[in-house]
Amino acid sequence: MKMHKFLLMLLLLWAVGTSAPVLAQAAETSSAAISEVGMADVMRQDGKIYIVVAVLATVMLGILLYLINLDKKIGRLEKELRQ
Amino acid sequence: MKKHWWKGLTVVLVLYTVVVGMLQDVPRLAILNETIRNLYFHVPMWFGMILILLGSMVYSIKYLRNPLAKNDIIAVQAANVGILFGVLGILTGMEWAKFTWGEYWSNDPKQNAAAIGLLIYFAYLVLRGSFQDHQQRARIGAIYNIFAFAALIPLLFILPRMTDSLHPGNGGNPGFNAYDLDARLRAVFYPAVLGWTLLGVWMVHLRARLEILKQHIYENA
Repeated sequence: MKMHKFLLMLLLLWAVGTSAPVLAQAAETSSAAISEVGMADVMRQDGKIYIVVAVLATVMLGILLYLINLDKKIGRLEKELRQ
Repeated sequence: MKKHWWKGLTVVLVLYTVVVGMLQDVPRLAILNETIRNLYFHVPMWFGMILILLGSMVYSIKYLRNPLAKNDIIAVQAANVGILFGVLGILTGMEWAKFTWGEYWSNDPKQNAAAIGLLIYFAYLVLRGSFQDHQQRARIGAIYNIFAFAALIPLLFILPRMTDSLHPGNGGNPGFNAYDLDARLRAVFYPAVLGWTLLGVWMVHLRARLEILKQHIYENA
C-alpha cells in the first residue's frame, strides 16, 4: 500500500512540475497569438461555448456519481457477505 | 474514507480535463483548428489502455506465480476495461481523422496496427470462453495475455514509426517532445492522462469486486 502511495505521489509531483512553469507561460502568450487561422472565437464571444461545457460537465458528473453510487452498493454487499 | 482519496482525485482530474480542456486557449493551427482539443480525450484513451493492459499482464504473471482466483479476476477485468478504452480510442480517432485527414480510415499504419492489437485482445476473451475448466482457462488465459501485451508494444510503438504515418511522432512527423507540444496543451494533457487512467482503474476495481462477490455467492449456493 505504501509503495502505491509513493508511486502516485511521484506521478503527481511530476505532473505539477511539468505543468506549473507552463501555466505561467500560457498567460504570456495567449493574448499575442491571434492570427488568421479560423477558431471558434465567435462561439466564445457569444458565450454559448459555456453551455456546451456545462452540458459536458453535467454528463461527466453524472457518470462519476453513478460510479460512486455503484462503488457504495458493492461495498455494502461485501460487508454483508463478510458477516 | 482514507482508502477512497484516489477516487476523489479521479473526479477532480476528469472534470478539470473537460472544463479547462474546452475553455482554455489552444495554439492556432491550420487544418486542426479547435480539434486539437481532442488531444485531451482521444490520446488519453490509448495511454489509459496501455497502462490498464500493462496492469492486466502484471496480474496474469502474478496468477502464474500464485494461482489465486483474485489475480485471474483482476487480469480479466483489466483486459475488459483496456479493450473498452481501445475501442473508444479507435472510434474517437476515426471521427477526428474524418475531419482532419479526410477519411475515417485511411489505412494509416498506426490505425491498422491498433486494429490488429484490438483483435489480439478480442481473441483473448474468445480463448478464455472456450475452456470449461476454470483453472485451465485461467492459466492458458494468463499465458496468452502476456504474449498479447508483448505483441501490442511493437504494433503501437515500433512498427508505425518505421514507415510514413499520419500520426504525430511517426515517419518524421513531430510528436511529444519538449519542442513541439505546446506548454498550454501539456497543462491539460498530463492531468487528462492521469484522470482517464484512474477512471479506468476505478472501473476495473468495481468489476473485479463484483466478480469476486459473484464467485462467493456461487460457492456458498
